[in-house]
Amino acid sequence: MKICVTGGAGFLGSHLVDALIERGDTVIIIDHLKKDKPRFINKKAVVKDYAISDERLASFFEEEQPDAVVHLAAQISVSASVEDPLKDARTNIIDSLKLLEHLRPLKGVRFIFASSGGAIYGDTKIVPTPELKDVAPISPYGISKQAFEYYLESMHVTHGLSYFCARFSNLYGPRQLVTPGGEGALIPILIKKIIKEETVSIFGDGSASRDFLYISDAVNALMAAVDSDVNGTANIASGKEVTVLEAWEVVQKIHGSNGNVEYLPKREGDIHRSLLDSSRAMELLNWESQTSFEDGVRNIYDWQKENLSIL
Amino acid sequence: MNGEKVLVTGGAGFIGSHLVDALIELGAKVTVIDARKPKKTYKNESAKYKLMRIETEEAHIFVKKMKPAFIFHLAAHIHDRESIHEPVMNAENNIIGTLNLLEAIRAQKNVRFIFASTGGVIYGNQDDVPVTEQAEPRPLTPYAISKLTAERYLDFYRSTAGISYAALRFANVFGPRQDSSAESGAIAIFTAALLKGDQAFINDDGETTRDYVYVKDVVRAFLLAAEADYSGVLNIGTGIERSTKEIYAAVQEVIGTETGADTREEIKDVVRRSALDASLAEEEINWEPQTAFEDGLRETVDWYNDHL
Repeated sequence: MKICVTGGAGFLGSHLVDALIERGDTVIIIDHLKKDKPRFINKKAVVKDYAISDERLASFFEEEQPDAVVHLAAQISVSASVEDPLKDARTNIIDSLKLLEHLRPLKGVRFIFASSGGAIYGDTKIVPTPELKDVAPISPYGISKQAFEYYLESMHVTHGLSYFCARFSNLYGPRQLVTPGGEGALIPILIKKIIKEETVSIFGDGSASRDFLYISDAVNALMAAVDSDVNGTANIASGKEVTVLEAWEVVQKIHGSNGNVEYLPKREGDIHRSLLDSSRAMELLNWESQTSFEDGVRNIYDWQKENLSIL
Repeated sequence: MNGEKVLVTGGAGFIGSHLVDALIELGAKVTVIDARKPKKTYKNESAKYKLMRIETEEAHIFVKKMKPAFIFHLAAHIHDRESIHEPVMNAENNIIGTLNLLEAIRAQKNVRFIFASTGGVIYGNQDDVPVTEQAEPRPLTPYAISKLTAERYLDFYRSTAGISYAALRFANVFGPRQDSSAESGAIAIFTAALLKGDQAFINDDGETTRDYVYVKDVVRAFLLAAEADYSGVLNIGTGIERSTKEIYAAVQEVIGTETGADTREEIKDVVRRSALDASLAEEEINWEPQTAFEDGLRETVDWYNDHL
């Protein structure tokens, strides 16, 4: 198969590209390759350093005739979206729509979209959370992700687009970068702090929980979605709830000694519990998460130890 | 409204021009932003008109400086069927345009934002008609998605910047000045065709239903919503379903003609049945439709008689 991966040099994208190449697919990375953060490029992949809104993609797709496009390039920071909703909407709605428009003349192309469970569901009382439809997301990031999901459904109904939308829980794994502010990257932050012998800040009492999904499980779900012809949306999640304190216990155990913790007041707007029901993914894609939390954390711990310089 | 600084986007259009007239009547100081100039007959000499697109930097700067007390946001790309083929253009108008305005007033205190949203296509196909605001949105066209998404951004600005807003989900608005050459607006299209002696067409099987609300009732909804404190969405409609065939017959009767219409079954209506339950609007802003359908239709036909 010939598969284009937008954002294919990023955290999730680079793992997907590696796995696709490993199984023998032809892979084209579409990635702006901005140098503001490390990118991970598989040498066996073709690289197009285009932004997703680039007009040249229309003729590029026409020439290449990919079987599938996995769309991972996005503005991914919730706090940046709160700061500048226009910028977030321009990337996650307008540019993503342009990408879809470039693909419209192609017959039979499969489109896979990485959405976000947490940002769309917010602080819902329904836990574990199934694929709720009638939710109004709290952040502009959640709104833009949800809007694009609606567009995909619309393009399916009106133009026959073949699509799948993966609502991910909290991904973690090697190559995950600790961004300024550390948003959404709890596991690599805990590991970085313990390795560097810095004090970990826990907001609240540490009972806040997340559904952590290991990166290779996420990659397997995307590949199952590429191979399937099912149209729809499903949560892609571990289905297991891990509290901040439990995560910290596991990190300390793997590190082999205890780290320093300070407890700070709970931050306003932080979601307390997040746990997704991923049974629909099992039904639609025959996919479920395989990696235990401890194994996953060990893998990212080992990677971070070797790559402290880029973190 | 007397003496208030008011911005009307899309104030050169069908609904907007009626709203501008009503606001001027109430003594408001009205500025219109519109991508098009008003037609001579709709232009209100007491209003200021700025020719600009709402999604531009120019509009952003203008609104930021203006600091209006009220914004009536009607400027939009409104053609549902066209949006299926031009989703980017539609989203730039309706999503980016709305965000651009909201960003311009983000830091401003004391502004009331009234948004022209849409009922029919946001709800899509529902089992229970007329629909209430509780129904799960099922937007199937880019136009519907853009309006629902703009509503969600409004709510974000309410919760984070304290912007007070009402999003009015209108049924199918009809009345004088409606464009009879657009893809939608059955009453305007049928009236113009019958008066001019052109061939009229009924799409699909003619059984598609819509809720027709008269433009003067819609203007009153805008004004009542502006004076209220309620933040959220409100249906503005009559709750009465009328099929395309019934509408055609009603226009025939008012004009006094027996001329029939041809059918275009190949043009399918994505939403089959639509009517809005407006009880929440009655509760929150004391609005209910006051114009009988036949009266509105007569006024509309009279206007086309004078202006074709």
